[in-house]
Amino acid sequence: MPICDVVKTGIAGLDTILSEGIPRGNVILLEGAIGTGKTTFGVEFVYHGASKFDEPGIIVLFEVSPDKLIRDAAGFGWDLPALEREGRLKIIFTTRQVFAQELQQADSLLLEEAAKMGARRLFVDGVAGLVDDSAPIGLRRESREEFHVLVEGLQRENLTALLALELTAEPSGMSLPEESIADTVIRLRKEEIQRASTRSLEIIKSRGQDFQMGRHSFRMISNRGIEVYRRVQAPRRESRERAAAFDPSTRVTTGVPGLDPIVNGGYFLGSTTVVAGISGVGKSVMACQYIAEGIRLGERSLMLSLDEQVPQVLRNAMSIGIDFQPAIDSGLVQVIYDPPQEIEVDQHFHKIEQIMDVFKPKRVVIDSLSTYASSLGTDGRMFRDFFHALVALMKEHQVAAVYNNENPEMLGMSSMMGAMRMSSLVDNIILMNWIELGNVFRLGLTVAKMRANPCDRMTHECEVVNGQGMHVLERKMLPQLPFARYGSLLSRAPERSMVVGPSDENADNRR
Amino acid sequence: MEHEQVHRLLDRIAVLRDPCDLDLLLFFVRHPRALLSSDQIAALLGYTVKRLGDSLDVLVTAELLSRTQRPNGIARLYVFADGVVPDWLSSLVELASTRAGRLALRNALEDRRNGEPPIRGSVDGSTPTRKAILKDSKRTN
Repeated sequence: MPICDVVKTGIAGLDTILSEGIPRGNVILLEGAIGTGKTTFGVEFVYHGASKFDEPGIIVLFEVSPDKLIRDAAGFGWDLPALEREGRLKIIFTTRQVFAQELQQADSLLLEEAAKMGARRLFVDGVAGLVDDSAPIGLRRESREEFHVLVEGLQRENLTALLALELTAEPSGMSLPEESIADTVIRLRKEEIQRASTRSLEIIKSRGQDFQMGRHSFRMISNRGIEVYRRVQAPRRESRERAAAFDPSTRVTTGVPGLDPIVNGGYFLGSTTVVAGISGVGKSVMACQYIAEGIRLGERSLMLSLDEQVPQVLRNAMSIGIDFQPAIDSGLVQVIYDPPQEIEVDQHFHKIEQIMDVFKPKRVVIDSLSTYASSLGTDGRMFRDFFHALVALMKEHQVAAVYNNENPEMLGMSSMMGAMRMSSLVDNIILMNWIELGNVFRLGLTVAKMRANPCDRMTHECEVVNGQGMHVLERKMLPQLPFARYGSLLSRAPERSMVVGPSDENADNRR
Repeated sequence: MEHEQVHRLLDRIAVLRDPCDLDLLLFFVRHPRALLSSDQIAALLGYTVKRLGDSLDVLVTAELLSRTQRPNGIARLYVFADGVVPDWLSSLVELASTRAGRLALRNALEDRRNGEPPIRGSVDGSTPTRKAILKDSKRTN
């Protein structure tokens, strides 16, 4: 939907959700319970208008003292007194009664002030009480008309007004009269998840524009202000949706001696590889070697760790003879740790998007997928949607991404990705298993899946050597017997057949 | 703060004569642009409308406060210290930011109202203008 003239909010991440801004002149209702961030949102809207977009503004307050508002705004890095001195901002303290009357008067002092300074934006902090909201929702004709009068007064002055409305309860079913009259309705929420609190923002409606629906996360950050993070499921750039187009020739070597021949020379650019195995099987060692190979080839590489903090990752790498520090210092490698507890998935995904856009790595290791699963849960859609979005992001950037995944089974595996049931989304799956022979656990590696590639599905023995890392031992392929030499093939425990036919004798003779 | 220091500060300010003047001044420090009726301000500060009206006149006469009114409106737009901020203001706000400081100021104002020495610069009892206040504050500094 084309929009002629929009007012940019200037709030980080919000204008993208709003198709670049809000149509000029729209009356915006900003609703939410106490403590959801309405005042901060409104002040930032006016602040950015006055400081970035040459649109002077007025803030109308009823209960909050202007000096407290100025103090709190300073915490976000917004110098409101400077804007006041420059005549680009006025903060007016009044009462709801006076404000309601002012907007109906042709000679309104408030509107005269707005006209004198050429105000284009207005934020009114707390319109509840301007209308009588004590009446049952179905009987609010009078209050609806009162709000209509208020909106008419604002539109007459061509102001883009943001009106904060405090909700005491989440509206259910029938909408509030204010919501019907306002052009744009934005609802802020503070949601309790377990014992944590997260903030979300939802565009309920916005006349004259497209917008991204659903609840998007946001944070209020010191010295920056509000940052809105699109919900991870929301559609991104079209290029990302089309990102399944692989480079059919370039392969990214693994850095694990002996592994490349098994994976046809390496992983394709844009491919998704999962390395699955129980804890301690060597997944993180392989990850370090993958990044070290990137350093050797001069390829930008990223390791995102949710399990180990950066110093721990560096120390572990040193134990297998890999020193990441020079590559980190030169900007070739980034090792980033994000704690998984109470992870806000939209914000976390936004962070990864930013890194991908700016750093543009060729190799990425995510350690680990199972930590995401335990944080987000695998029962609902959140984990699946997040992983889908992550895979699409990596493909868009043509990154060869490796995800470690802890499989709880110590000996053998009954499924490739456990409860995640995401193996169809993954291109390559490498299973790491302990194999008990005699009284020794030996390490086996099986390439269980390589999309669009041949793979032998043999289990290869590996070793992790102190100071050197992992390597795959050479294994000569033995001649294979035909299926006819076995019985109970579908039983998971096939047995050699005792009956020997002529063709089987030939096979035996060949050996 | 010593009693003497409070009196020295009030000498510099000159314009304040009554605790209501002080409370009103501090109200406008916190709300430098207020669109209110005098009844509403009186209710917020807990003074009678008459007493508050006198204090409003004091601040307006001293040119610390401007007020605009439209013919049929109930409210006036009050703008405090528009442009020039008196140099004593920060000292006053700091002193009044504690209960002890605010009470000391109020007590000193009560003393003056009850026959203590007249405010310097207002021998005839009239309210000094902002020009006079600024000139006076330069001299005392």
